[in-house]
Amino acid sequence: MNSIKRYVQYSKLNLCIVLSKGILIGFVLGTLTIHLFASSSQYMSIKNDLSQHPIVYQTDEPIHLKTKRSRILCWITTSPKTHLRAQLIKDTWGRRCDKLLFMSSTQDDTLPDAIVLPSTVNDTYENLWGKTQEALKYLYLHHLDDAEWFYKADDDTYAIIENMRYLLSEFDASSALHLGFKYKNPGVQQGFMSGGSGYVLTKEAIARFVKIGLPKLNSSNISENANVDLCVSGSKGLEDLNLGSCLEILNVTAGDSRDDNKKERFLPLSLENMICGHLNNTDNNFLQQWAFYPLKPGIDCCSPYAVSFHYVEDYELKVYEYLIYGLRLYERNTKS
Amino acid sequence: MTSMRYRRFLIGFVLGILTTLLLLKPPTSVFLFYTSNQIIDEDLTRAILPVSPHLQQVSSLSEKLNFKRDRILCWVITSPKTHSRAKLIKQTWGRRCDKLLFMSSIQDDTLPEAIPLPVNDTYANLWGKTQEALKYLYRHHLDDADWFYKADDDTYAVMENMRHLLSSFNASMPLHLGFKYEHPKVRHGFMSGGSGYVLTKEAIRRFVEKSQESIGNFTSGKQCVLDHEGAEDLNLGICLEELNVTAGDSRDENKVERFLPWSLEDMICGHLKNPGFWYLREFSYFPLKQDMDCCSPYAVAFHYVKDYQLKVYEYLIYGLRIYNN
Repeated sequence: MNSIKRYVQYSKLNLCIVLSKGILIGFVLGTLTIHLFASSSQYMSIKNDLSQHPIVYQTDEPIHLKTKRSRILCWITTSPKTHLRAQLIKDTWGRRCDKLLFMSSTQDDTLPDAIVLPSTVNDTYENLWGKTQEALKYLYLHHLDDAEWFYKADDDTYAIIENMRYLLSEFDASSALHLGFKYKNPGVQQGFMSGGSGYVLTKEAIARFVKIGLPKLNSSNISENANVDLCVSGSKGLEDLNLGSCLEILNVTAGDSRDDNKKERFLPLSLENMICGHLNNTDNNFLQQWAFYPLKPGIDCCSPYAVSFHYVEDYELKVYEYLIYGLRLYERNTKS
Repeated sequence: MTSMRYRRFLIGFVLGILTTLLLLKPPTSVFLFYTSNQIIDEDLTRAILPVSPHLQQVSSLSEKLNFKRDRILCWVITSPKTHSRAKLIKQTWGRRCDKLLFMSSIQDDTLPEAIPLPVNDTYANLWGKTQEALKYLYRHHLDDADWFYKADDDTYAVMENMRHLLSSFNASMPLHLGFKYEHPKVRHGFMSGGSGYVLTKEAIRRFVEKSQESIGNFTSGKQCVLDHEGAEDLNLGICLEELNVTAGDSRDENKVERFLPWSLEDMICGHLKNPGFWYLREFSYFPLKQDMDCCSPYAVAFHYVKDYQLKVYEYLIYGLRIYNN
């Protein structure tokens, strides 16, 4: 009798053990499976959230990067004739900058908040260098604490600020640095950055330019140490070349902005030219000849993480906004 | 005794799984992954996440289980002068079609997919050429696909989004899809030729068989005429209506158009800059929306993408990535 009782008790215990083993294994397996798929499906759930709105993809702020204190101030050189473009930039990529300024020579209804630079400058292409000097001085005097990075663009530039943040995260914002599409030039050993696709300057780069680079004549209230004609003489000449030359004298590093595969991120010619220029355009030779780093033809010209495009004029800015941020690919399975 | 143990184990196992579900609350997308044929792994390729620069090849469960997938045959109207555009299409979006043909009027060794149709290759003869093309498809390719997408050689199509659109329709029905215009001669509207249109097998079959038995027009007294002159898209729409081919609604869930017949710049900003925009507004079958709302995030085709612009679109849509960690 006892042995039977003990047998029964023993087998009950056995079954309990088996039961708990089952629960344990079920739990572990379930957890693993969910984690496995959660890591790939978290992409899906993020995407699903964002695709709620079929209208322009509205996520503008990667907050985490902001807290890393890497704010970008975008300053756009524009002019009264092209204030419409400035407005379109405001409506599209400009709103992804931490701060957005328009450097013009007047304010009007289209652009009531344009920064009117001192009227020493005639708003023409020839005087662009003069205008740039004024703009940098303005930034130095009023906005140096508003950002860590200062991105200059034309009003026919389209920039992808998320990719800009990605690029800049690899550099030190406290150093003296400028980034952009690098051209070579016999007078500038480290190369200069193309004005068209825009360039990025650090605080330190701007400070050195304004305090030391600008002639004492123009900046008498800023610095006692400024050397006349150190690297700036007058307002004429090629803005980007002159700036690059000046920054070299001031020991501001000309960084390499290409991606891990050595593909350019700042694109100074129209996308059509960058991708197919070698096929149809003899002017493309200029780019080939003067690019600091060897250029690749075809779609390899341009990084998947491209940061800016040039010659995107007027309403085309909205087309880029739609194609880059509005359009989605419904991807069900493979085979392309 | 052993069976009791197994039973207990099983009970325990199930309890364990249930516990994880209750405690960990997995995202519902995990279940979507398994329960649905249509996996919404939307634009992992365009992801705002750092991924490889190449088109993300996501293998869905359905693919692995070899679910049947509707095939799309793309036939692109081209001409001897614009074979270069055809080649660019071949290198870009054309390769995402299950089958790609070019309807031309000459043979070209550098473009083997060009079908030399017996027509005078001018814009005025486009209707005649379209009829020849449909006849050709009927005779040689009706079994090669479930859907037949016609495009011009300045059209850029997004095939993934095309498949998504077509998945909500029945390929065995007589149906045509595209950007719908209204016209007094076509009660249910006709599809714009520019952004292209999709026909089912049945639609093509009805058209070709009827035109083979007709001379001049389908039914005397009615509107469909087969003479070679005239607007291709309007005429096709008239004829298909007479054949009871349904003119479908290709807009997305938010009633936003997916086939875009004018240049993107005009679609988005036409109301701001283009005096001819009134035409689109007047004659579009469905009410048009302005600005970015004009165009679905799941747009299927763009028009007036000429020559090397095709490569620019390819880069912007498939090459570019937006980083957001």
